Amino acid sequence: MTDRRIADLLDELTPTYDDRRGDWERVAASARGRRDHRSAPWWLMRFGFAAAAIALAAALVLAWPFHGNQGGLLDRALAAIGEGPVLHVVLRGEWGGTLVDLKSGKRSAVHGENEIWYDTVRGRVHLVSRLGGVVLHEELYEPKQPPADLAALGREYKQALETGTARISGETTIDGEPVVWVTIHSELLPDVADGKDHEWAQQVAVSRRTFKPVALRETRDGQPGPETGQRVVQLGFLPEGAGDFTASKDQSLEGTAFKQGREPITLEQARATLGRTPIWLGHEYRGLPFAEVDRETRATGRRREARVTGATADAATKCSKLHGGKAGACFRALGLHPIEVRPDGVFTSEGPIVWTAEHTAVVFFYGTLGDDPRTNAKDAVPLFDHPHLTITETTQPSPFDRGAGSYLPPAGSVFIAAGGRSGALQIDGVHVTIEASNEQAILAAAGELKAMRD
Amino acid sequence: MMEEAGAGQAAEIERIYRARYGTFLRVAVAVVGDELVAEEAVNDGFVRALRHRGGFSGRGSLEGWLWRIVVNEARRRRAAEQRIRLMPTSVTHDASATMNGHREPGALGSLVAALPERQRLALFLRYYADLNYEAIADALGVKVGTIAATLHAAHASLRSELVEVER
Repeated sequence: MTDRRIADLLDELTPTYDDRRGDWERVAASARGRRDHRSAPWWLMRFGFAAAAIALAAALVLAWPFHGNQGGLLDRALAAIGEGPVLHVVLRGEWGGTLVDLKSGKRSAVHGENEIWYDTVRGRVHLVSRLGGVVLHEELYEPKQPPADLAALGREYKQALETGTARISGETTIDGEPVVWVTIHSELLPDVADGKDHEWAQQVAVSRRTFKPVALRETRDGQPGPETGQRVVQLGFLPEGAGDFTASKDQSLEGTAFKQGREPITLEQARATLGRTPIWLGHEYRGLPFAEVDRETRATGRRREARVTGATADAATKCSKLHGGKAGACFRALGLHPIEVRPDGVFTSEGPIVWTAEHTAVVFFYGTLGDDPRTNAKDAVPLFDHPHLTITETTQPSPFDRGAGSYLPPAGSVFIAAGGRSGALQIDGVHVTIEASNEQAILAAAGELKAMRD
Repeated sequence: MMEEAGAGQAAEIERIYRARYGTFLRVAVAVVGDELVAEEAVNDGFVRALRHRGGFSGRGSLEGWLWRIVVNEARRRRAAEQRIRLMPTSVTHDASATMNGHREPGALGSLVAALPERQRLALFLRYYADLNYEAIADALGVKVGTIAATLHAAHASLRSELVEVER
């Protein structure tokens, strides 16, 4: 879309320079790092020496990295990130929790971290998620577009610094490290809530000491987004072909089906289900009556996987290179659903889901039972919108356990997560999760758990 | 192989420089408001592009990538120029001589100057460089849809202001 009146207005504002040819030889010489001694710099010729000296002094002041010139700092940031097309990074997110020692009350952070290898040439990603050093799951995949945080630290960060797109957006201190926030990518995105466009930006915190990235975040209209902050624990660029791109299929959630069921049982059945004496809080706890005990079963499974070969596999690989709706239409045209293109081949799945891993837990509910408004029949179900507390216990920890997943806190400590509404602990080989409205209620309950004797 | 690719890219950068130098200069002048500084921005932008041509990912056009570098260089120069102007100096020069004989922007220029930066840059690239939406998006590092919305907003602002001026 162009507008004649606006074109005329702009023509009036800035002259044309169609007769100018520039000086390519000087550009090429400068790029080779040689100073061209044939004549003085462009600006020196035009202004004379005195003016040039003043401009040079000003430029030197501005180029000093700690005095506001973003070119100096950003150039150092570019020099600090190194070379190599394979990004290896460890990012510490905001999804960990706090370990609280029940005797001393001492608190320590348990970090959730993602270790990622991202091959920018082959477009492959290997992701390992850990909580407190324990692997929760890992994935090996080829994204159409890398996640924003990978793009931010990978090619985009480097390109933004090289091309000058990067701009300094603020400064602060992170864990005692003075940093500047560098915006490397931003765009206007509409928000259906207010019908307006808002500026979304991906930012990298660069250390003023080492000029290396130390944190990432996303902002909206300049304000940090919730749970978008990540610390850069480790960052490196590896040569082509390097990096760990092997992943255990057992740890992958890709293609995994999950089911969960719960049914009321008796206290005696709870003992049999767990295979040992359960622990609980008695028939009443701080005004909350023991209302119900349930058997909870969780299972994971997969369909049988079949390798696709020949022309169909070739066609699927081509489809995987397309984007958006074109890719979906291309895959549908193959007549195989689902179909997965992976580094180790092309696969489809067939037949019923084979449930392979089943976990059983017992859940004690303290609180009020009432009618479930979603059903017509009169029934009695736990009312989670009333004051309540639940204790879930199992001898088979799984990645799907609420709060801690496969992470097992040391004996005598409670791992507090989910904003203080979930606590995990071990008692005599039983893995216990307490859910309540706040951390104080969880810690108090953890201190009063006892064997179910009656 | 890599060297051949690099040499080919350098030749293409040179071709674009020679063919489009005047257009790059015009946009840079529009951004920084000074012909001499704009010349530096264009030339230093191309020096930067030659040095870092390995960083061109192949996504989008090479020319779009060059525009991105030159526009950012010009923006950086403008910011530096604004700081330099705060320093006491007795150096003066004839502004008209640095604008290719063109007149001072005046009221019309104020209308454009009052636009948000992204709208201004999108206008310059659309009207002076005759870039399409994809190339402008490449140059400004945003999505194509953002460019459509940005140009629409710029047009709307200018049209309403032009009516006010004409009254």
